[in-house]
Amino acid sequence: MMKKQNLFLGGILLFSILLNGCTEARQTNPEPVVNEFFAFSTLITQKLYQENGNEVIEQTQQMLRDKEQRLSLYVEGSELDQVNQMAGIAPVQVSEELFEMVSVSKRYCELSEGRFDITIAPLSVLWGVDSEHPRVPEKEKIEKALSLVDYRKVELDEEKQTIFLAEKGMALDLGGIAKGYFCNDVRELYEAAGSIGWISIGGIIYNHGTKPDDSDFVFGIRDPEDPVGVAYVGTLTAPEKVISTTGAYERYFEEDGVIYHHILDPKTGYPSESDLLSVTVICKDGGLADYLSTTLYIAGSEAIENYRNDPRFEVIVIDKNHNIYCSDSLKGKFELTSEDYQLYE
Amino acid sequence: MNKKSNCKVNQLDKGEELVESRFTFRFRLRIEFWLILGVVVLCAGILLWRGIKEKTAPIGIAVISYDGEVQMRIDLSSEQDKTFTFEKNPKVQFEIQDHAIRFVHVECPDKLCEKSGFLRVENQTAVCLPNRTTLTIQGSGGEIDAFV
Repeated sequence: MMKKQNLFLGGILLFSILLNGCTEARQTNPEPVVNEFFAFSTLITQKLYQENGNEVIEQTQQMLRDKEQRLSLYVEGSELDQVNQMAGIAPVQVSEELFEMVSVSKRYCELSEGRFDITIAPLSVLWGVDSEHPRVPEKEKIEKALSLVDYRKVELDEEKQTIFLAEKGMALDLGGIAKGYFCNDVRELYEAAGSIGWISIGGIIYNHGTKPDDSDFVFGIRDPEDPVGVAYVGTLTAPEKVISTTGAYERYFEEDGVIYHHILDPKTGYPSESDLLSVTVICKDGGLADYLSTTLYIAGSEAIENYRNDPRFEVIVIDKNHNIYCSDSLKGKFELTSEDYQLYE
Repeated sequence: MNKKSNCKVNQLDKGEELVESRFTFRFRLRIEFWLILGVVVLCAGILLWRGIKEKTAPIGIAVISYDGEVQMRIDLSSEQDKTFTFEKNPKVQFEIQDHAIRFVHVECPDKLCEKSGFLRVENQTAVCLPNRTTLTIQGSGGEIDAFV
């Protein structure tokens, strides 16, 4: 009898120890380190769960700031600025990194048949949607800028590692690929440091590892029609991948009651009149994810079916009728949570 | 005679001892029962409290940052309704109402930050890019890690 009691009391004691043990285990998990800074005219946020999180965050920040100084269209004297300044004059020898970025981008321009164009800079500067003073330009100015947009006039010499823009006034803008492309560099850094966490570069997210409780990071896909911008249509898990969303709601300005957004159509010179609300691309390659989300948004719903089940990436597309088109492989990874939208089978 | 009577006394003593030991055993059993019940109830209570605490802790800390540096941390669960600015950038104003916070009356060209509306759920973020100012709701958990 006493043995049974002792056994029972022992059980209670063990239960209490376990209860306490769980608390201890939870308390020893490192507190996440959060960091925010501005670069490439956007907000960059990192959240890492690891002991030396601050060191990794510092390294990442340094790396991205360095890239901004060398590769931004808006930094005077940057490598990219030098190429633009020498447009129509002479080829410019550039770093391996810039040469590779421009080569990859030019290939994407060809694949998209000009829906994506890295020579869009004269137009993006004219509209200034990303600047402090956005405006609707005069039609003549738009036409003039449009005549300078043509990726086929970007001449690359692999042997000399030079870039030449064939016409004066042409300029490169890598904004449609750079943020995703840099996620690949961040991946290398996080992998080397064994990091657990995520980075958001202007809304493009890369996540690495699992949370301390072993679950995947969960990301909310924004509701593109929610005026307050904090509601979401569903949740997504995409371990070790880059998630890039393009939507007109991200940046825009209003003039005379008309809304003008930041996604310029290289074929018209005006903000894209897409029949889509947003396109999310999930992919290992950040550059591909960034380029595709913009290009598919501009291409519109007609093009979506061809890309829906491509083995290289996954998509979540939301149209203006609130239909959501998902890659089949996202079953179990994307969960619709909003009652205002429906999954299109 | 004496032996017999002693024997009887002994038998009586043994009987009393038996009664007493049974009584003590029952008493101890009762104490142990309540003790065990107490521990079980306490453990269940702790687990329940923890569960409730985790599920009902959506009101987080509002963190205001300027150029990547934290300027203010505001506990929305206890802060009174008010409108305010912060020292480094008085062009940006915030409003707290019913444990939620938003950008309000901001000197910037696009006013996108104002359109973000009230934030109250953990991990929600609103940004004023021209003023390099961010407003984030930080917390211990939340279903969503970030929005894209």
